[in-house]
Amino acid sequence: MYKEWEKIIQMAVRNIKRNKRRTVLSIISVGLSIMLVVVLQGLVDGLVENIIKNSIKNETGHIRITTKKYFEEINSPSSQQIVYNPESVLGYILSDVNVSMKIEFVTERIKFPVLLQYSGNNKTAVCIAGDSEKEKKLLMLDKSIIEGEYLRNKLVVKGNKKYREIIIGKKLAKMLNLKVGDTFPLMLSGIDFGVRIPSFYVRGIFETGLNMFDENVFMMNIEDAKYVLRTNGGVHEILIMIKKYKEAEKVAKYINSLLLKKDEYKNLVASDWKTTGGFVKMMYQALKIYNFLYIAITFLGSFIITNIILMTILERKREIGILKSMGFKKVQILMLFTFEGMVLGTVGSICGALLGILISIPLSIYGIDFSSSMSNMNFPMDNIVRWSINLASILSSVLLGILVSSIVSVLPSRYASKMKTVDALKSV
Amino acid sequence: MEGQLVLKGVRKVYTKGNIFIEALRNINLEIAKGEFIAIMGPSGSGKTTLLNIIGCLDIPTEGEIVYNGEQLTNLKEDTLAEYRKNNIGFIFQSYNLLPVLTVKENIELPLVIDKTISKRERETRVMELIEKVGLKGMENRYPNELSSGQEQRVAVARALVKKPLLVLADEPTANLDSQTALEIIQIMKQMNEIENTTFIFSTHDPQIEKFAKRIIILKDGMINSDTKISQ
Repeated sequence: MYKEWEKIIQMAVRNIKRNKRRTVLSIISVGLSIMLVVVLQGLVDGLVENIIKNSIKNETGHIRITTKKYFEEINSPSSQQIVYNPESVLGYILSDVNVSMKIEFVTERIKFPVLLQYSGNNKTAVCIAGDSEKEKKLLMLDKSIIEGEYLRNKLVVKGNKKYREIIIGKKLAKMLNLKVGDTFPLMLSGIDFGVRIPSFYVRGIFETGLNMFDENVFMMNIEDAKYVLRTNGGVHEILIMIKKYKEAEKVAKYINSLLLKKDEYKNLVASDWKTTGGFVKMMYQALKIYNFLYIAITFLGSFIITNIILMTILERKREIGILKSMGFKKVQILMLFTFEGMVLGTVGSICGALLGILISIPLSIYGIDFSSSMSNMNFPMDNIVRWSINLASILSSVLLGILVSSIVSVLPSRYASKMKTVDALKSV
Repeated sequence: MEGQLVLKGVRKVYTKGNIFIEALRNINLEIAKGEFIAIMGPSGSGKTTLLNIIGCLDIPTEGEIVYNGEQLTNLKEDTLAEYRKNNIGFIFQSYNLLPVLTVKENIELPLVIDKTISKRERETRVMELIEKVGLKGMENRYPNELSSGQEQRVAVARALVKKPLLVLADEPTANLDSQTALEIIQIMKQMNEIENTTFIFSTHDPQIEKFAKRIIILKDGMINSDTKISQ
């Protein structure tokens, strides 16, 4: 059995070498399509990683504990969906060693939409209130301050008045004409439905490079938010960051099982980043479409192999006849030509992948600046997108190239295997 | 009888559009093991068609082919391939060597698909035949590095390497000069005598005719004469 396949492989390889120009042409065609797939995959992987990173950082954490109805009221300025006693909830969850050993850190957030008004300008915005120290590891706005300072967690005394501090996105500040050191009143509706108009002091202006953030978000200390919204110590979200983010779904499930055991926590739910991250879900849908696109590109590039194998078969009809007269079976003839296509596909795919990696390396270091096209988009994507070089994706592209080349070779090879021996021998 | 090949009422009709060409008509033949048969006749008389049908490369429109008591007419393609692999060697007018394989590789190719033959036996048989057909020292040459006579020697060795019971040769010397043709036919004759292999060959060559033990003359797809030669 082995010697027979060894000979078929040997013949296939030698036949490939027979017409070098044709071989090079098919390798180039497959190579270009796989190169395109690798580069495109690098871009898409880079985008997805970027969006996942930003979604986790800004929106979902790895796991987010909220009330079950939180997402129904997420856009309400006075959402009643509060997690009360977050410390007790966390204490209960973290007392379970299966959870605590997997957790890196936890933080709490209050998020609410508001209408910001200042010097005749107004703009809807979102306030993210968090623990200013812990958020240095998550939102990381301390690293994006371009004017003024990051939150100091102190009241600001100006004249005889005390102000709570905020930091604000650069574009949002520009739209409202707010500057560092300015103070402004903010009309808020608390969860007790009482309307209050506290004043805030602009401690700093940040620029993250993320339009969605720079145009819409301002941040305050969570204790200030608890006070102005009268949440009685409650928060909207408890964000949990775990050591291995891929385990988020499993850990969230486990936390849910813990929450269900206590009556007072039965209204709470833990969701992993994939479940509640709207943009992440969208990207995963898009990835499925991209996978079809990769397959289509590979097929287009590989169809030249069908042509070349068919041409080869027509030229080598007589040889097929000789092999059949010797007793070669249909499957052996089929394999001989399919293997030729497979070899072309393998060499083309490897060359294409290497070329794709070469192109992707500088793109992964320097990236491409999409700021001009992203300026009006509310998408959790950095302005500079860097390609991701993922070994598994590259390997899958190479395997896709080999598989598709083999598939497209089968069709002409079947024609060869079904050829009548006597007709094949007659051909010149 | 062992190794006996019988053709009963074989007819072969080719169709080209609406035209029917009757290539063979009512062929009845009995061929015993070890015969050395020349099939002769003018061009278009059906020599090649007859060889193709005997070699199971083509199937008759009517009639039966029985080998060793086994009916071959209704066998499936892969079964016929197995039958050819085990029993028949072919020699073609235009040698039909595979250009990507060396002399040695061309000769050993029929053995490669035979699971019953070990590598050592394969080597031995191939080297023996290379010596017998006078190609020693040329084992690693490719067909394009050989003369026509040498190519046909390779083709003869390839047909004989699996020790077939039957060798079919379609005008094996047509493209060779008379001296080389004689050498080729002598090799075939030698194999016929030593191995008792049945040889059936079509030819126009009167030189080869002299070596035949039986001469079948075809005319218009029919057997015109079937003569056994006593030597």
